[in-house]
Amino acid sequence: MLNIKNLSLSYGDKHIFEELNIEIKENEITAIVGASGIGKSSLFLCINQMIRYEKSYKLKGEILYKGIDLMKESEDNLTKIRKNIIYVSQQPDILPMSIYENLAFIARIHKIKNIDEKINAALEKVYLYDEIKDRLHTDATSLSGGQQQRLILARALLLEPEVLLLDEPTASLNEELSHKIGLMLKEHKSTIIIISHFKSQVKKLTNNVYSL
Amino acid sequence: MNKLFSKLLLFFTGFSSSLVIFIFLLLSYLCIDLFNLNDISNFLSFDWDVEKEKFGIATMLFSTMAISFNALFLAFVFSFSICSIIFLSKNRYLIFFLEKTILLMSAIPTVIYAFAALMTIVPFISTYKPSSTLSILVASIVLSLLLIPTMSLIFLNIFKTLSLKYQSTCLNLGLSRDDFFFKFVLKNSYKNMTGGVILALSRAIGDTMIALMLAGNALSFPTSIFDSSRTLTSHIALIFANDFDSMAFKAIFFCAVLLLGSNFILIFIIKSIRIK
Ligand SMILES: Nc1ncnc2c1ncn2[C@@H]1O[C@H](COP(=O)(O)OP(=O)(O)OP(=O)(O)O)[C@@H](O)[C@H]1O
Ligand SMILES: [Mg+2]
Repeated sequence: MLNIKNLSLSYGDKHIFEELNIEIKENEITAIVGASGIGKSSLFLCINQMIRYEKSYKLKGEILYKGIDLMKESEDNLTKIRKNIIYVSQQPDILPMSIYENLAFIARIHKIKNIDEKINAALEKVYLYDEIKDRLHTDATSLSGGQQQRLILARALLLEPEVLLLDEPTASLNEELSHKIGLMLKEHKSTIIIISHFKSQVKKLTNNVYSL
Repeated sequence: MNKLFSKLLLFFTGFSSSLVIFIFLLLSYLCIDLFNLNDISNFLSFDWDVEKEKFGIATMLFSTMAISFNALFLAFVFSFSICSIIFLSKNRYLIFFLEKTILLMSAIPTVIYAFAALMTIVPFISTYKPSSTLSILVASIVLSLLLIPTMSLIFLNIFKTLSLKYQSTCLNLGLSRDDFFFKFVLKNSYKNMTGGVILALSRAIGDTMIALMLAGNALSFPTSIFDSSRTLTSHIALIFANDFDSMAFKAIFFCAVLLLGSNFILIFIIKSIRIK
């Protein structure tokens, strides 16, 4: 599905990682673990090629997605590919709109049908629906950190991408919720790459673990 | 040190705002003293004829509005286009050129625009319409050149702030740059853009040099954009009245109050847009 070959990244003269090789299997969960600042989030930026918008980076190697090298793709093609490789960032990057619009805005752009049904389903999946069902049309910035994190996860699920890049999706959730969302991801039928600080946490999710 | 600084700041803010309020109160007081209802109905008529004791400034008010709104429309079309190109273009040289041009335009004094127009636009228009030399049209076009940098810099600032904050999020979710601009940036900036347009409008109403040099200053009511006409600001500059008790002085004073009042209203509108 996704094959990372001999990937090296540096910002300026600072080497982040070198000669990285990772094979991501279709419809399985793969975990990336490693200490803070080691380059886990940067790896995700390489995969969805948003790294192109960073200053003074150097990237070598190949990122093969269904056989095509993403590093050689044009920006126009990448725009289409990014819809299928959704990156859920570490900080909840909600948009300045209502909770509902945060989901519906993206859904409309991608011409998703039955938006309302799908939004409710996505919110159910991240255990957010009951908490916010009667304030869907209020400003999303009024949500708590953990709620915002689940909202952007719901936004990603709504688009039904082939690959989900999850950057510490449960960092600000309590143990029970983390566990429930872990189970949901395990049952989710798509390719998932998940970043975590702790090996122990991801062991429950998958056996494919890469340490950076 | 920090405390001292903020106290100083508070003092100066308080001082300057109370000064503005004082000026406003003084003007209001003078108005009550100066004008009676008869005078005001005289001022609000369309004829200015000192011999006949007619001091109507409604024509000038109309000309001010005509020139300001024409200029505002032209400036909006150009500013919006320029800013969209800067935002969407992939050609770095073009972006650089446009950005520097806007900055340069904002630094050119109005007199120079007016002189340049006298030598270019004015003869150009009169070859097509020989009866027309200095007119509302000429003043509007040149005034729009004055407004373009103001408006463009505000628009660009709005676009850049939004894209700095939200571009990576939107592109992450599979939006193209065009989608991001047309479906996100524009939708989320029309309020602040309205603020920029109103700011430009207050600049247009207050401008004196361009109107004085290019609008022709005729006292008659203009019937087309090719007619010569006189704005409130030009009128203030052109009427020589130093006798405080004369009706002419009162009329000029009334012009000033109108200008100041319209400025207050426009700034109030901008503030109330921002607060919401
Ligand atoms: N745009 C950039 N320019 C220069 N250096 C950067 C840039 N982005 C990240 N870095 C640096 O690269 C290193 C890796 O950053 P990254 O965010 O990938 O770490 P991480 O493994 O995700 O850490 P964490 O677990 O704390 O999120 C860090 O030292 C960071 O300071
Ligand atoms: Mg990170």
